[in-house]
Amino acid sequence: MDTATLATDLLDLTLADALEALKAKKISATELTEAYITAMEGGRALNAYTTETPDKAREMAKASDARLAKGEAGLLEGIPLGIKELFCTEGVETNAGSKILKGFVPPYESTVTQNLWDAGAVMLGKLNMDEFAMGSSNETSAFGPVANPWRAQGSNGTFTPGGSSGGSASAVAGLMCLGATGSDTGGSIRQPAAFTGTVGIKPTYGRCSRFGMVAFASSLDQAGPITRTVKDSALMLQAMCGHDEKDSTSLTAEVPNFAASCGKSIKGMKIGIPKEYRMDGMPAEIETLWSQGIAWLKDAGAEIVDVSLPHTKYALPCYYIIAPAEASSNLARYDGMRFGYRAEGKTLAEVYQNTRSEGFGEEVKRRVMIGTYVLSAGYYDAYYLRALKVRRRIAQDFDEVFKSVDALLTPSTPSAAFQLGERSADPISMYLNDIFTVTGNLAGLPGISVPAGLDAQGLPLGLQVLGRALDEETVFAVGSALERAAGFAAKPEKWW
Amino acid sequence: MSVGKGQEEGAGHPSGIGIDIPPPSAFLTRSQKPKVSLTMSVDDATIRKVAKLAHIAIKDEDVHPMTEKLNGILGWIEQLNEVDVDGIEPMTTCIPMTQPLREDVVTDGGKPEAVTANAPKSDHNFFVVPKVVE
Amino acid sequence: MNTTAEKSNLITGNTGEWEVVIGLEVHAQVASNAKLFSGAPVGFGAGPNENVSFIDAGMPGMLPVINKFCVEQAVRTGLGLNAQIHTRSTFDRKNYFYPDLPQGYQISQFKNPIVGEGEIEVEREDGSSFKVGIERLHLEQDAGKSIHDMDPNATYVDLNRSGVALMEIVSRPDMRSALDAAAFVKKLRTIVRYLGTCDGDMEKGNMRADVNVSVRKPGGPLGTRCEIKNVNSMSYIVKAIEYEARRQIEILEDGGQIDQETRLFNVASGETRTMRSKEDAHDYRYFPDPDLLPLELEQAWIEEIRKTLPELPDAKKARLMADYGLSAYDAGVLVTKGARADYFEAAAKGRDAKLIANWTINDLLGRLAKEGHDIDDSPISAERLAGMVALIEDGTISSKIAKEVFEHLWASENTAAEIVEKHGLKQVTDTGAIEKAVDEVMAANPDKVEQAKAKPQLAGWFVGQVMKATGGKANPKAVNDIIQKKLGV
Repeated sequence: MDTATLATDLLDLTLADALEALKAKKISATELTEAYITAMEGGRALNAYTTETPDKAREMAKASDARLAKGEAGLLEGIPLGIKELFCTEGVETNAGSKILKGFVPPYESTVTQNLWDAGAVMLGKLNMDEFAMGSSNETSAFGPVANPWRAQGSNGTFTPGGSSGGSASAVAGLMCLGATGSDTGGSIRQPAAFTGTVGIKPTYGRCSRFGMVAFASSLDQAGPITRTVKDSALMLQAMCGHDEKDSTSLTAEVPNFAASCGKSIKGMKIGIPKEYRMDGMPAEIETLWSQGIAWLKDAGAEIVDVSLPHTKYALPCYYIIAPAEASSNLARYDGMRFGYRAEGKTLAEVYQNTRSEGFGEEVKRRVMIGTYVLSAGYYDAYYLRALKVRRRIAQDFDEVFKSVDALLTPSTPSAAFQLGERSADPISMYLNDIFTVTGNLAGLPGISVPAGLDAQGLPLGLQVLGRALDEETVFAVGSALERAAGFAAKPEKWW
Repeated sequence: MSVGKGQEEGAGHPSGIGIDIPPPSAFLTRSQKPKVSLTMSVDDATIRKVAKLAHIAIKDEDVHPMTEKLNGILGWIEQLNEVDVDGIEPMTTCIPMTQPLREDVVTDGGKPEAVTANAPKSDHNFFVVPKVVE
Repeated sequence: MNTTAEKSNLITGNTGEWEVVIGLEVHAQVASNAKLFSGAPVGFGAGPNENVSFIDAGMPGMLPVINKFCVEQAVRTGLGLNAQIHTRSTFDRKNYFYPDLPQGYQISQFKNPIVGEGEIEVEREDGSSFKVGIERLHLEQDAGKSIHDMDPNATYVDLNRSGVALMEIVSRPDMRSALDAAAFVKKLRTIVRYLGTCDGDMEKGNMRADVNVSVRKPGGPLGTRCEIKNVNSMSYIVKAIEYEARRQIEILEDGGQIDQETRLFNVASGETRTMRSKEDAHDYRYFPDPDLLPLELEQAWIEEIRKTLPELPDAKKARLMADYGLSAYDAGVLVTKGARADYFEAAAKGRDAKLIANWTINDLLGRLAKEGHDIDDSPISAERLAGMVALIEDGTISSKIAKEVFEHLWASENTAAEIVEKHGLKQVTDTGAIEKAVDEVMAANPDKVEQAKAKPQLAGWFVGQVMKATGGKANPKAVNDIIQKKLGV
């Protein structure tokens, strides 16, 4: 077998396969890592990686091989991963997709990435994202948009991989890493996963520590993995999460064995179909996919129950008060005084204003402005306080339905991927990408997006499973049942 | 100004691909369509004030477009007024936990070089910033 | 409460009398090892940014976790202020930009503070007292320090203070004079020192006050107030208020109006001026900090803390008056510091308490202040002072000789008895020796003897002469008796 074939074969292994092959010493971490370094370097046209760290990857792979040889393999020993720019990595630039943090080299490591390294994972580099995770198409990145490896049939147009974890989704779909970290504030893991034919899970709020993860909206931000399969997500999430004393909002609950839930029978489970997610004007293909998903779960022995989440339609507007409000405060630290970009100015006030005006992109500025406005004197009650109350209404809706169902099935997104530039002029049309995912963030619930089919153009579509708080096990079980039934095996044709 | 304008613009975009991507406003039922409300819309002066509070320089020619964009968004947000929130406790977190407390033990500090390593300007471990006039 | 001013507090302007209304926000630094939200040390005199964690520097992705000890100190202080402890409190962000505020917001407790309403009794110099309402006490983090004089064109920022736990104690606007405001701060300082929750060191900035001042015609509606930031000594508090009240009166009397604003007190000129950097910082956009969860305290824990509270100054004062028969003034002086009262009580054991109080207050405290000492490092221990008073009580030495003994006590390690022995200061009670001295004085002054026989009040002259002749060691009562007998008066 020549090396080129071997490398391609290596890239075809899933994370779970690779773990087995590594443990069985069929492959080495170094070989695997070299294959991914080559793929990463060969995939620059996708602009998924903002920083490549091949030397670090080789060093970590070597250490993994040493541990494998000694039989001291960690949970993700030797697995090459990409890391979203949102996670601070010690000694490696972390810019959150923003000019204002360009060149920022954290002298500390985020808990999530530390957990991954402790589990033996190998870092390939940092992944592009929407600036401060504000966006649904990766077009707000200061480092250029990311391309989706998928193209519409017969088209040379470049599609978005979604956002904000666009680099993560593109790198996983383009076989440039075995898995990638993402973060999800309104749908930023699940929507890109759906757009790229990959699996993405946002766990229960508080499962993954937010320590060292650049904050967008603290009460909604939650880290999670993007991988090729449901089981891969379970394995990677297992390593990422756990209680962290450095995060006051970190859950103390025990972390179950997620991978054990994958493939578990869902016979007798009650799956809710929320009627409010059937929006007017929803594309027929999404509707069809959803019906297909229902049929699959029914076939797998689940009981399908129609349920109602009456406040669903208020979730997005509610989110677009709470998230910008928190962001306006979280982003106040980017002022050019202690780190990051500093602009010129004659006075301190000018330096502040120019730094933030030049350092932030348009969408970030817009959200900081909205957030500042809704918190300002005289508007707090009408906007922010009301949004917090509506948020509780939305969460109560879920509490109510989860009394009678085990999980909910919905589409992940209202459409397949769109072309770059197509929606960037209109904020609200962009915001609507998150219409099915944002409720999970507001209520803090786990949600997974599983690739379920292709649209007429040959672009992937995803289905979402939402579960009760702390019940990722059911989410993984239902997700893997969907995965099995869908048999989604399509791969993007390599054009890059 | 019309708060619906931004959405109509969105509706006008060609989908570019074969599948029918609906105009965003199609997701909004009649009752969700934002009502124009004078009390809830912002004007250019407010935008300038907010920009000042947020410490973001905004060019004169950018003020009005920003006003229009924000009014589009705020108008859309306004549908929250339909929700009955009487007696509802605001939800500031989705965690049913109380604040954890740590012991009063020194575990950190003693690394002024690392603290100032990313500073645009520093001197002898001080951050150096533009002159502050108190 | 004194809602209307006492006549003496009114300030006379050109248009008549004015009343000044003062409320204070006192920031008391919690005496903790580590900061409120990070494990960095709290300390004075460290090198720049030495006591700083990445959390205190507001680095991306850093998160706060609360120091339990600081919460406990806030509860203790609240209990010491006779205030209501809230079992549920929350943390909010106060948003504003300033180079020494690394996060771009201060974490504070705006909506639901940990401590609610309370009240304390404050004593004036003249012994009278008044009550001041406490509106609230909340926990918040301190900002860093901006240094403006290291470079003519730049400001240097040191974040060592950033994140240090502060208790902000907010009073009701119950004070009507600068002196009363200072007395309130003094009383607060005494209480937190008793509790051990704050060292009260104003020089180091560990306790400082924001002073809200407004003026009005007596009985009229409240005027617009100005806030004078960060005043860090009792005398500056007095000066700042007096200046600010005069300034406001002048503006109003000239037909102007007061702008609600933040002002700074200039120590050198004794004036206040507008703080320019705060001019447009009035919209703080408070909202609940999503990085922190509600702080919930168990009532049982609060009760445990209550059990560990020391005797507080008011209770101690009442007890000193009742148990030792001290005057309100003496007891008041002794309880201003717990260590003073402790000293007094240690010395007074089995002794004449009033004598001990007099010696402690009049001689010892005066001398300590003069020499820059505190009661904690007094060269004369309570035991040695008590030893000297014992000698006065049993007549071994006179009060006058005691002054001399006191000097020796101050300068040496010896006990009073050793000093008396060594320097031969023992009082002469031997009537033979005294008679001899009296006879000698009378023999030398026959004219005075005649005069004194006619005018008995002149006998005192002989007492003085005899005391002089005996080097002050003669028992004054014995001398007096013998002289009267010899003069036949």
